[in-house]
Amino acid sequence: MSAKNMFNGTASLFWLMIKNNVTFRSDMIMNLLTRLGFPFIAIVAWIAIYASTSSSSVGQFTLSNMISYYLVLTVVEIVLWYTNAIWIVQDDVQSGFIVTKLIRPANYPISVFAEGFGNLAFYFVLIGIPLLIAITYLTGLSVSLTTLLLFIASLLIALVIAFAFQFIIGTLAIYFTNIGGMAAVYFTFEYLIGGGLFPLTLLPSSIGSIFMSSPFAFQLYFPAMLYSGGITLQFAMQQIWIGVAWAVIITAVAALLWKVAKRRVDAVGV
Amino acid sequence: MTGLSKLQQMLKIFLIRQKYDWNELLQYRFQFIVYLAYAVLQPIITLVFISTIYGVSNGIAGWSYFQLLFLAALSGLTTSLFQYFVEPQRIFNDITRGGLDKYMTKPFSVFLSLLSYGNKLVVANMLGNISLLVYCMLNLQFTLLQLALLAVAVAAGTTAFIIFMMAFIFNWHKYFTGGWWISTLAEMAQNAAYWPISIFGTFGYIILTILIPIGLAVFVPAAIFTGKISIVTYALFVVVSLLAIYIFHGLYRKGLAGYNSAAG
Repeated sequence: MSAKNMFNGTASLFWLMIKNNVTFRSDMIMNLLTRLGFPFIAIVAWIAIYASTSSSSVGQFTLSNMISYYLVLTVVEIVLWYTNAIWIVQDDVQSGFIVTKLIRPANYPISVFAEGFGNLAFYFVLIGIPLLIAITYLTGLSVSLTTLLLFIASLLIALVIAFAFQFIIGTLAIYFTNIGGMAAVYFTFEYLIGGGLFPLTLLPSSIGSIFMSSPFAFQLYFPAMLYSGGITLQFAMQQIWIGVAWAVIITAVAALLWKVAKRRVDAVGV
Repeated sequence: MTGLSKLQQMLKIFLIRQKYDWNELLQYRFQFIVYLAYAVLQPIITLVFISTIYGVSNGIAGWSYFQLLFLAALSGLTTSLFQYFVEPQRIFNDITRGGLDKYMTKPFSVFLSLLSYGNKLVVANMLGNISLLVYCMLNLQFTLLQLALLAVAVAAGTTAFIIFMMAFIFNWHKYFTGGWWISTLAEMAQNAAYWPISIFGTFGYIILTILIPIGLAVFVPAAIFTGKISIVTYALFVVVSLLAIYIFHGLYRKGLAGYNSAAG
Protein backbone atom coordinates (compact mmCIF):
# COMPACT_ATOMS: atom_id res chain seq x y z
CA MET A 1 0.00 0.00 0.00
CA SER A 2 1.53 3.31 -1.04
CA ALA A 3 1.69 6.25 1.31
CA LYS A 4 -0.38 8.27 -1.19
CA ASN A 5 -3.21 5.71 -1.20
CA MET A 6 -3.18 5.53 2.55
CA PHE A 7 -3.34 9.32 2.82
CA ASN A 8 -6.21 9.55 0.30
CA GLY A 9 -8.21 6.89 2.13
CA THR A 10 -7.70 8.54 5.48
CA ALA A 11 -8.48 12.01 4.12
CA SER A 12 -11.73 10.70 2.57
CA LEU A 13 -12.87 9.39 5.95
CA PHE A 14 -12.03 12.74 7.54
CA TRP A 15 -14.16 14.66 4.99
CA LEU A 16 -16.97 12.11 5.24
CA MET A 17 -17.30 12.76 8.97
CA ILE A 18 -17.35 16.51 8.39
CA LYS A 19 -20.07 16.15 5.71
CA ASN A 20 -22.09 13.95 8.07
CA ASN A 21 -22.07 16.70 10.67
CA VAL A 22 -23.07 19.42 8.24
CA THR A 23 -26.00 17.36 6.85
CA PHE A 24 -27.91 17.25 10.17
CA ARG A 25 -27.71 20.95 11.01
CA SER A 26 -30.40 21.08 13.69
CA ASP A 27 -28.76 18.15 15.48
CA MET A 28 -25.39 19.81 15.21
CA ILE A 29 -26.62 23.09 16.72
CA MET A 30 -28.52 21.36 19.53
CA ASN A 31 -25.52 19.16 20.27
CA LEU A 32 -23.36 22.26 20.62
CA LEU A 33 -25.86 23.96 22.92
CA THR A 34 -26.31 20.94 25.18
CA ARG A 35 -22.55 20.39 25.35
CA LEU A 36 -22.12 23.99 26.46
CA GLY A 37 -24.73 23.35 29.14
CA PHE A 38 -22.30 21.22 31.17
CA PRO A 39 -19.76 23.98 31.98
CA PHE A 40 -22.67 26.37 32.53
CA ILE A 41 -24.08 24.08 35.24
CA ALA A 42 -20.66 23.68 36.89
CA ILE A 43 -20.07 27.44 36.84
CA VAL A 44 -23.49 28.25 38.35
CA ALA A 45 -22.84 25.67 41.08
CA TRP A 46 -19.46 27.20 41.90
CA ILE A 47 -20.95 30.71 41.92
CA ALA A 48 -23.40 29.43 44.56
CA ILE A 49 -20.53 27.85 46.53
CA TYR A 50 -18.45 31.05 46.44
CA ALA A 51 -21.51 33.09 47.47
CA SER A 52 -21.85 31.10 50.67
CA THR A 53 -18.13 31.11 51.47
CA SER A 54 -16.72 34.02 53.45
CA SER A 55 -13.30 33.92 51.72
CA SER A 56 -12.86 35.23 48.17
CA SER A 57 -10.96 32.11 47.17
CA VAL A 58 -11.55 28.38 47.39
CA GLY A 59 -8.29 26.47 47.51
CA GLN A 60 -5.99 28.64 45.37
CA PHE A 61 -8.85 29.63 43.06
CA THR A 62 -10.76 32.88 42.94
CA LEU A 63 -14.20 32.66 41.33
CA SER A 64 -12.76 34.17 38.16
CA ASN A 65 -9.99 31.48 38.08
CA MET A 66 -12.60 28.77 38.61
CA ILE A 67 -14.80 30.05 35.77
CA SER A 68 -11.79 30.26 33.45
CA TYR A 69 -10.81 26.70 34.40
CA TYR A 70 -14.22 25.22 33.54
CA LEU A 71 -14.50 27.20 30.30
CA VAL A 72 -11.05 26.18 29.08
CA LEU A 73 -11.86 22.64 30.20
CA THR A 74 -14.81 22.69 27.78
CA VAL A 75 -12.47 23.49 24.91
CA VAL A 76 -10.11 20.71 25.97
CA GLU A 77 -12.99 18.25 26.34
CA ILE A 78 -13.88 18.68 22.68
CA VAL A 79 -10.67 16.80 21.94
CA LEU A 80 -11.90 13.94 24.13
CA TRP A 81 -15.62 13.96 23.25
CA TYR A 82 -15.09 13.22 19.61
CA THR A 83 -12.17 10.81 19.70
CA ASN A 84 -14.68 7.94 19.77
CA ALA A 85 -12.14 5.15 19.10
CA ILE A 86 -13.72 2.81 21.68
CA TRP A 87 -17.11 2.76 20.00
CA ILE A 88 -15.77 2.71 16.45
CA VAL A 89 -13.65 -0.39 17.15
CA GLN A 90 -16.37 -2.12 19.20
CA ASP A 91 -18.95 -1.53 16.45
CA ASP A 92 -16.52 -2.82 13.83
CA VAL A 93 -15.85 -5.96 15.87
CA GLN A 94 -19.47 -6.67 16.76
CA SER A 95 -20.74 -6.12 13.22
CA GLY A 96 -17.80 -7.99 11.64
CA PHE A 97 -17.11 -4.90 9.55
CA ILE A 98 -13.56 -4.87 10.90
CA VAL A 99 -12.65 -7.56 8.36
CA THR A 100 -13.74 -5.36 5.47
CA LYS A 101 -11.80 -2.45 6.92
CA LEU A 102 -8.66 -4.54 7.38
CA ILE A 103 -8.50 -5.42 3.69
CA ARG A 104 -8.86 -1.80 2.63
CA PRO A 105 -5.74 0.05 1.50
CA ALA A 106 -5.60 1.96 4.78
CA ASN A 107 -3.95 1.37 8.10
CA TYR A 108 -6.81 0.41 10.50
CA PRO A 109 -5.69 2.35 13.63
CA ILE A 110 -5.06 5.44 11.49
CA SER A 111 -8.46 5.14 9.80
CA VAL A 112 -10.12 4.88 13.23
CA PHE A 113 -8.20 7.99 14.23
CA ALA A 114 -9.27 9.79 11.03
CA GLU A 115 -12.93 8.90 11.61
CA GLY A 116 -12.88 10.47 15.07
CA PHE A 117 -10.61 13.30 13.99
CA GLY A 118 -13.10 14.46 11.34
CA ASN A 119 -15.67 15.08 14.07
CA LEU A 120 -13.11 16.50 16.43
CA ALA A 121 -11.65 18.97 13.91
CA PHE A 122 -15.11 20.10 12.86
CA TYR A 123 -16.24 20.89 16.42
CA PHE A 124 -12.90 22.31 17.44
CA VAL A 125 -12.95 24.82 14.60
CA LEU A 126 -16.65 25.55 15.04
CA ILE A 127 -16.76 25.97 18.83
CA GLY A 128 -13.34 25.29 20.32
CA ILE A 129 -11.46 28.18 18.73
CA PRO A 130 -14.26 30.80 18.99
CA LEU A 131 -14.87 29.77 22.60
CA LEU A 132 -11.18 30.01 23.40
CA ILE A 133 -11.04 33.53 21.91
CA ALA A 134 -14.18 34.52 23.84
CA ILE A 135 -12.81 33.11 27.11
CA THR A 136 -9.53 34.95 26.66
CA TYR A 137 -11.31 38.22 25.91
CA LEU A 138 -14.09 38.00 28.52
CA THR A 139 -12.07 36.72 31.47
CA GLY A 140 -9.09 38.95 30.69
CA LEU A 141 -6.60 36.09 30.57
CA SER A 142 -3.16 37.24 29.47
CA VAL A 143 -1.97 34.54 27.11
CA SER A 144 1.59 34.85 25.81
CA LEU A 145 2.77 33.21 22.60
CA THR A 146 4.71 30.67 24.67
CA THR A 147 1.57 29.79 26.64
CA LEU A 148 -0.38 29.40 23.41
CA LEU A 149 2.26 27.13 21.89
CA LEU A 150 2.49 25.05 25.05
CA PHE A 151 -1.31 24.83 25.14
CA ILE A 152 -1.42 23.55 21.54
CA ALA A 153 1.28 21.01 22.42
CA SER A 154 -0.68 19.94 25.51
CA LEU A 155 -3.84 19.47 23.41
CA LEU A 156 -1.91 17.26 21.00
CA ILE A 157 -0.60 15.22 23.94
CA ALA A 158 -4.17 14.95 25.33
CA LEU A 159 -5.40 13.80 21.93
CA VAL A 160 -2.71 11.15 21.56
CA ILE A 161 -3.21 9.83 25.12
CA ALA A 162 -7.02 9.80 24.75
CA PHE A 163 -6.89 8.05 21.39
CA ALA A 164 -4.31 5.48 22.54
CA PHE A 165 -6.28 4.68 25.71
CA GLN A 166 -9.52 4.39 23.75
CA PHE A 167 -7.90 2.27 21.08
CA ILE A 168 -6.55 -0.10 23.75
CA ILE A 169 -10.04 -0.54 25.24
CA GLY A 170 -11.60 -0.78 21.77
CA THR A 171 -9.11 -3.49 20.79
CA LEU A 172 -10.16 -5.51 23.83
CA ALA A 173 -13.53 -5.94 22.06
CA ILE A 174 -11.74 -8.54 19.92
CA TYR A 175 -11.39 -10.64 23.08
CA PHE A 176 -14.53 -9.69 25.04
CA THR A 177 -16.95 -8.54 22.27
CA ASN A 178 -18.73 -6.16 24.63
CA ILE A 179 -16.54 -3.56 26.33
CA GLY A 180 -19.20 -1.18 27.63
CA GLY A 181 -18.23 -1.78 31.25
CA MET A 182 -14.55 -1.16 30.69
CA ALA A 183 -15.36 1.99 28.72
CA ALA A 184 -17.53 3.26 31.59
CA VAL A 185 -14.73 2.67 34.10
CA TYR A 186 -12.21 4.38 31.80
CA PHE A 187 -14.40 7.47 31.27
CA THR A 188 -15.00 7.71 35.01
CA PHE A 189 -11.26 7.68 35.72
CA GLU A 190 -10.60 10.14 32.92
CA TYR A 191 -13.19 12.52 34.33
CA LEU A 192 -12.33 12.24 38.03
CA ILE A 193 -8.56 11.74 37.99
CA GLY A 194 -8.23 13.96 34.93
CA GLY A 195 -9.73 16.95 36.74
CA GLY A 196 -13.00 17.08 34.83
CA LEU A 197 -15.09 17.19 37.98
CA PHE A 198 -13.02 19.86 39.76
CA PRO A 199 -9.44 21.18 39.70
CA LEU A 200 -7.14 18.56 41.23
CA THR A 201 -5.47 21.13 43.48
CA LEU A 202 -8.64 21.12 45.60
CA LEU A 203 -7.83 17.57 46.70
CA PRO A 204 -5.58 16.88 49.70
CA SER A 205 -2.01 17.29 48.40
CA SER A 206 -1.07 13.61 48.90
CA ILE A 207 -3.90 12.39 46.62
CA GLY A 208 -3.78 15.41 44.33
CA SER A 209 -0.09 14.97 43.47
CA ILE A 210 -0.65 11.30 42.53
CA PHE A 211 -3.57 12.23 40.29
CA MET A 212 -1.61 15.09 38.70
CA SER A 213 1.19 12.73 37.65
CA SER A 214 -1.22 10.28 36.04
CA PRO A 215 -1.82 10.24 32.27
CA PHE A 216 -5.46 11.23 32.88
CA ALA A 217 -4.35 14.62 34.22
CA PHE A 218 -2.64 15.36 30.89
CA GLN A 219 -5.94 14.85 29.12
CA LEU A 220 -7.89 17.55 30.97
CA TYR A 221 -6.33 19.16 34.03
CA PHE A 222 -2.92 20.12 32.63
CA PRO A 223 -4.10 21.86 29.42
CA ALA A 224 -6.94 23.62 31.28
CA MET A 225 -4.66 24.84 34.08
CA LEU A 226 -2.01 25.90 31.58
CA TYR A 227 -4.29 28.13 29.51
CA SER A 228 -6.27 29.51 32.46
CA GLY A 229 -3.04 30.59 34.14
CA GLY A 230 -3.25 28.19 37.07
CA ILE A 231 0.36 27.01 36.65
CA THR A 232 3.57 28.86 35.85
CA LEU A 233 5.22 28.52 32.46
CA GLN A 234 8.36 27.11 34.05
CA PHE A 235 6.34 24.36 35.74
CA ALA A 236 4.40 23.73 32.52
CA MET A 237 7.63 23.27 30.56
CA GLN A 238 8.78 20.65 33.07
CA GLN A 239 5.45 18.87 33.14
CA ILE A 240 4.93 18.71 29.40
CA TRP A 241 7.76 16.19 29.07
CA ILE A 242 5.98 13.89 31.51
CA GLY A 243 2.94 14.18 29.25
CA VAL A 244 5.04 13.32 26.20
CA ALA A 245 6.44 10.29 28.03
CA TRP A 246 2.92 9.09 28.90
CA ALA A 247 1.80 9.60 25.29
CA VAL A 248 4.71 7.51 24.00
CA ILE A 249 4.21 4.73 26.57
CA ILE A 250 0.45 4.41 26.05
CA THR A 251 0.77 4.56 22.26
CA ALA A 252 3.40 1.81 22.40
CA VAL A 253 1.08 -0.35 24.52
CA ALA A 254 -1.78 0.29 22.07
CA ALA A 255 0.40 -0.64 19.08
CA LEU A 256 1.64 -3.80 20.78
CA LEU A 257 -1.85 -4.90 21.79
CA TRP A 258 -3.20 -4.25 18.29
CA LYS A 259 -0.36 -6.28 16.78
CA VAL A 260 -1.27 -9.26 18.94
CA ALA A 261 -5.05 -8.85 18.86
CA LYS A 262 -5.53 -8.40 15.12
CA ARG A 263 -4.35 -11.98 14.56
CA ARG A 264 -7.51 -13.11 16.33
CA VAL A 265 -9.81 -11.19 14.00
CA ASP A 266 -11.85 -13.68 12.05
CA ALA A 267 -15.12 -13.74 10.11
CA VAL A 268 -17.20 -16.06 7.99
CA GLY A 269 -15.96 -16.21 4.43
CA VAL A 270 -12.49 -14.88 5.23
CA MET B 1 -60.41 -8.53 26.77
CA THR B 2 -61.12 -6.32 29.79
CA GLY B 3 -58.89 -3.43 30.69
CA LEU B 4 -57.49 -5.25 33.71
CA SER B 5 -56.67 -8.48 31.91
CA LYS B 6 -55.06 -6.48 29.09
CA LEU B 7 -52.93 -4.68 31.65
CA GLN B 8 -52.00 -8.02 33.24
CA GLN B 9 -51.02 -9.42 29.87
CA MET B 10 -48.91 -6.38 29.02
CA LEU B 11 -47.17 -6.59 32.37
CA LYS B 12 -46.51 -10.28 31.82
CA ILE B 13 -44.95 -9.67 28.40
CA PHE B 14 -42.95 -6.76 29.82
CA LEU B 15 -41.54 -9.00 32.57
CA ILE B 16 -40.71 -11.74 30.05
CA ARG B 17 -38.76 -9.18 28.01
CA GLN B 18 -36.92 -8.09 31.16
CA LYS B 19 -36.01 -11.70 31.93
CA TYR B 20 -34.78 -12.20 28.37
CA ASP B 21 -32.64 -9.04 28.54
CA TRP B 22 -31.11 -10.15 31.83
CA ASN B 23 -30.31 -13.60 30.47
CA GLU B 24 -28.71 -12.06 27.39
CA LEU B 25 -26.72 -9.68 29.56
CA LEU B 26 -25.37 -12.44 31.77
CA GLN B 27 -23.80 -14.05 28.71
CA TYR B 28 -21.13 -11.33 28.96
CA ARG B 29 -20.03 -12.29 32.45
CA PHE B 30 -16.75 -10.41 32.43
CA GLN B 31 -18.49 -7.18 31.42
CA PHE B 32 -21.03 -7.76 34.14
CA ILE B 33 -18.28 -7.93 36.76
CA VAL B 34 -16.55 -4.83 35.35
CA TYR B 35 -19.85 -2.96 35.46
CA LEU B 36 -20.28 -3.89 39.10
CA ALA B 37 -16.90 -2.30 39.80
CA TYR B 38 -18.04 0.80 37.91
CA ALA B 39 -21.23 0.88 39.95
CA VAL B 40 -19.20 1.00 43.14
CA LEU B 41 -17.13 3.85 41.70
CA GLN B 42 -20.11 6.12 41.01
CA PRO B 43 -21.25 6.73 44.60
CA ILE B 44 -17.61 6.98 45.68
CA ILE B 45 -17.12 9.80 43.18
CA THR B 46 -20.22 11.56 44.51
CA LEU B 47 -18.85 11.17 48.03
CA VAL B 48 -15.39 12.49 47.05
CA PHE B 49 -16.88 15.43 45.12
CA ILE B 50 -19.25 16.63 47.82
CA SER B 51 -16.64 16.00 50.55
CA THR B 52 -14.07 18.01 48.57
CA ILE B 53 -16.50 20.91 48.17
CA TYR B 54 -17.29 20.97 51.88
CA GLY B 55 -13.59 20.47 52.68
CA VAL B 56 -12.56 23.68 50.91
CA SER B 57 -15.70 25.81 51.29
CA ASN B 58 -18.96 26.19 53.19
CA GLY B 59 -20.82 24.37 50.42
CA ILE B 60 -24.15 25.73 49.21
CA ALA B 61 -26.08 28.08 51.47
CA GLY B 62 -28.95 26.37 53.25
CA TRP B 63 -27.68 22.88 52.46
CA SER B 64 -25.63 20.90 54.95
CA TYR B 65 -23.02 18.36 53.85
CA PHE B 66 -25.36 15.39 54.33
CA GLN B 67 -28.30 17.17 52.70
CA LEU B 68 -26.30 17.95 49.56
CA LEU B 69 -24.85 14.45 49.55
CA PHE B 70 -28.40 13.10 49.82
CA LEU B 71 -29.51 15.23 46.87
CA ALA B 72 -26.54 14.09 44.77
CA ALA B 73 -27.15 10.42 45.62
CA LEU B 74 -30.85 10.79 44.83
CA SER B 75 -29.86 12.34 41.50
CA GLY B 76 -27.67 9.28 40.87
CA LEU B 77 -30.52 6.95 41.78
CA THR B 78 -33.12 8.58 39.52
CA THR B 79 -30.54 8.79 36.72
CA SER B 80 -30.06 5.01 37.05
CA LEU B 81 -33.83 4.47 37.10
CA PHE B 82 -34.14 6.48 33.89
CA GLN B 83 -31.26 4.62 32.25
CA TYR B 84 -32.75 1.27 33.25
CA PHE B 85 -35.80 1.98 31.11
CA VAL B 86 -34.75 4.45 28.45
CA GLU B 87 -31.86 4.53 26.02
CA PRO B 88 -32.47 7.59 23.81
CA GLN B 89 -29.78 6.66 21.29
CA ARG B 90 -31.26 3.22 20.64
CA ILE B 91 -34.78 4.59 20.25
CA PHE B 92 -33.45 7.24 17.86
CA ASN B 93 -31.66 4.56 15.83
CA ASP B 94 -34.88 2.55 15.57
CA ILE B 95 -36.91 5.58 14.51
CA THR B 96 -34.45 6.52 11.77
CA ARG B 97 -33.97 2.97 10.49
CA GLY B 98 -37.59 1.85 10.59
CA GLY B 99 -36.83 -0.41 13.52
CA LEU B 100 -40.18 0.26 15.20
CA ASP B 101 -42.05 -1.63 12.48
CA LYS B 102 -41.70 -4.87 14.39
CA TYR B 103 -43.53 -3.38 17.38
CA MET B 104 -46.26 -1.68 15.36
CA THR B 105 -47.57 -5.00 14.07
CA LYS B 106 -47.87 -6.59 17.51
CA PRO B 107 -50.87 -6.31 19.86
CA PHE B 108 -48.60 -4.87 22.53
CA SER B 109 -47.77 -1.36 23.68
CA VAL B 110 -44.89 0.21 21.70
CA PHE B 111 -44.16 2.33 24.76
CA LEU B 112 -43.57 -0.72 26.96
CA SER B 113 -41.43 -2.31 24.25
CA LEU B 114 -39.25 0.79 24.18
CA LEU B 115 -38.97 0.72 27.96
CA SER B 116 -37.08 -2.54 27.67
CA TYR B 117 -34.29 -0.80 25.73
CA GLY B 118 -32.54 0.63 28.78
CA ASN B 119 -29.29 -0.50 30.31
CA LYS B 120 -30.00 -3.29 32.81
CA LEU B 121 -26.54 -3.05 34.38
CA VAL B 122 -27.41 0.26 36.04
CA VAL B 123 -29.13 -1.80 38.74
CA ALA B 124 -25.68 -1.96 40.29
CA ASN B 125 -25.53 1.88 40.25
CA MET B 126 -28.94 1.98 41.91
CA LEU B 127 -27.67 -0.23 44.72
CA GLY B 128 -24.59 1.94 45.14
CA ASN B 129 -26.65 5.12 45.30
CA ILE B 130 -29.17 3.53 47.68
CA SER B 131 -26.25 2.68 50.01
CA LEU B 132 -25.18 6.32 49.89
CA LEU B 133 -28.74 7.47 50.56
CA VAL B 134 -28.97 5.17 53.58
CA TYR B 135 -25.64 6.55 54.85
CA CYS B 136 -27.04 10.08 54.56
CA MET B 137 -30.34 9.08 56.20
CA LEU B 138 -28.43 7.78 59.21
CA ASN B 139 -27.03 11.28 59.59
CA LEU B 140 -30.21 13.24 58.86
CA GLN B 141 -33.34 13.65 60.90
CA PHE B 142 -36.57 12.71 59.17
CA THR B 143 -40.01 11.29 59.81
CA LEU B 144 -41.65 8.26 58.21
CA LEU B 145 -44.12 10.61 56.56
CA GLN B 146 -41.25 12.47 54.88
CA LEU B 147 -39.86 9.13 53.67
CA ALA B 148 -43.24 8.17 52.22
CA LEU B 149 -43.60 11.57 50.53
CA LEU B 150 -40.10 11.17 49.11
CA ALA B 151 -41.00 7.81 47.55
CA VAL B 152 -44.20 9.17 45.99
CA ALA B 153 -42.42 12.22 44.54
CA VAL B 154 -39.55 10.12 43.13
CA ALA B 155 -42.02 7.74 41.46
CA ALA B 156 -44.18 10.52 40.00
CA GLY B 157 -41.25 12.73 38.98
CA THR B 158 -39.21 9.93 37.40
CA THR B 159 -42.24 8.74 35.44
CA ALA B 160 -42.81 12.30 34.21
CA PHE B 161 -39.15 12.60 33.15
CA ILE B 162 -39.17 9.25 31.34
CA ILE B 163 -42.35 10.10 29.41
CA PHE B 164 -41.02 13.58 28.66
CA MET B 165 -37.88 12.10 27.08
CA MET B 166 -39.92 9.66 25.01
CA ALA B 167 -42.20 12.48 23.81
CA PHE B 168 -39.22 14.68 23.05
CA ILE B 169 -37.38 12.03 21.02
CA PHE B 170 -40.39 11.28 18.80
CA ASN B 171 -41.50 14.86 18.33
CA TRP B 172 -38.04 16.19 17.63
CA HIS B 173 -37.61 13.59 14.91
CA LYS B 174 -41.07 14.31 13.55
CA TYR B 175 -40.39 18.03 13.13
CA PHE B 176 -36.61 18.27 12.67
CA THR B 177 -35.55 14.84 11.35
CA GLY B 178 -32.77 13.93 13.72
CA GLY B 179 -32.20 13.78 17.43
CA TRP B 180 -28.99 11.88 18.11
CA TRP B 181 -28.03 14.68 20.51
CA ILE B 182 -31.00 13.97 22.82
CA SER B 183 -29.02 11.53 24.98
CA THR B 184 -26.72 14.50 25.75
CA LEU B 185 -29.79 16.54 26.76
CA ALA B 186 -30.78 13.77 29.19
CA GLU B 187 -27.26 13.73 30.62
CA MET B 188 -27.24 17.50 30.97
CA ALA B 189 -30.59 17.53 32.78
CA GLN B 190 -29.34 14.82 35.13
CA ASN B 191 -26.15 16.83 35.67
CA ALA B 192 -28.21 19.88 36.66
CA ALA B 193 -30.28 17.76 39.07
CA TYR B 194 -27.12 17.04 41.04
CA TRP B 195 -27.50 20.53 42.54
CA PRO B 196 -30.37 22.31 44.29
CA ILE B 197 -32.21 23.73 41.28
CA SER B 198 -32.86 26.94 43.21
CA ILE B 199 -29.27 27.97 42.34
CA PHE B 200 -30.29 28.33 38.69
CA GLY B 201 -32.68 31.19 39.50
CA THR B 202 -36.41 31.43 38.80
CA PHE B 203 -35.97 30.82 35.07
CA GLY B 204 -33.86 27.71 35.64
CA TYR B 205 -36.29 26.54 38.33
CA ILE B 206 -39.20 26.69 35.89
CA ILE B 207 -37.25 25.01 33.07
CA LEU B 208 -36.06 22.19 35.31
CA THR B 209 -39.46 21.45 36.81
CA ILE B 210 -42.05 22.16 34.13
CA LEU B 211 -40.25 22.10 30.77
CA ILE B 212 -37.75 19.32 31.57
CA PRO B 213 -39.23 17.64 34.66
CA ILE B 214 -35.97 16.35 36.15
CA GLY B 215 -36.42 18.67 39.15
CA LEU B 216 -39.70 16.90 39.96
CA ALA B 217 -37.81 13.61 40.15
CA VAL B 218 -34.86 14.78 42.26
CA PHE B 219 -35.08 18.23 43.82
CA VAL B 220 -38.72 18.10 44.98
CA PRO B 221 -38.34 14.70 46.77
CA ALA B 222 -35.04 15.81 48.35
CA ALA B 223 -36.54 19.15 49.36
CA ILE B 224 -39.55 17.61 51.14
CA PHE B 225 -37.33 15.02 52.79
CA THR B 226 -34.95 17.66 54.16
CA GLY B 227 -37.80 20.01 55.10
CA LYS B 228 -36.96 22.72 52.56
CA ILE B 229 -40.43 22.98 51.07
CA SER B 230 -43.84 22.98 52.74
CA ILE B 231 -46.37 20.18 52.34
CA VAL B 232 -48.55 22.52 50.24
CA THR B 233 -45.72 23.25 47.81
CA TYR B 234 -44.97 19.54 47.72
CA ALA B 235 -48.59 18.68 46.90
CA LEU B 236 -48.56 21.29 44.14
CA PHE B 237 -45.44 19.74 42.62
CA VAL B 238 -46.95 16.23 42.76
CA VAL B 239 -49.99 17.56 40.90
CA VAL B 240 -47.59 19.16 38.38
CA SER B 241 -45.88 15.74 37.99
CA LEU B 242 -49.20 14.01 37.30
CA LEU B 243 -50.19 16.72 34.82
CA ALA B 244 -46.80 16.41 33.15
CA ILE B 245 -47.28 12.65 32.80
CA TYR B 246 -50.67 13.21 31.16
CA ILE B 247 -49.50 15.99 28.81
CA PHE B 248 -46.21 14.34 27.80
CA HIS B 249 -47.96 11.03 27.18
CA GLY B 250 -50.31 12.81 24.80
CA LEU B 251 -47.35 14.41 23.07
CA TYR B 252 -45.61 11.04 22.87
CA ARG B 253 -48.65 9.54 21.12
CA LYS B 254 -48.70 12.45 18.65
CA GLY B 255 -45.00 11.98 17.98
CA LEU B 256 -45.43 8.24 17.52
CA ALA B 257 -48.24 8.89 15.03
CA GLY B 258 -45.70 10.79 12.94
CA TYR B 259 -43.43 7.76 12.66
CA ASN B 260 -42.88 6.53 9.12
CA SER B 261 -42.13 2.85 8.81
CA ALA B 262 -39.29 1.61 6.63
CA ALA B 263 -41.86 0.57 4.06
CA GLY B 264 -43.89 3.76 4.37
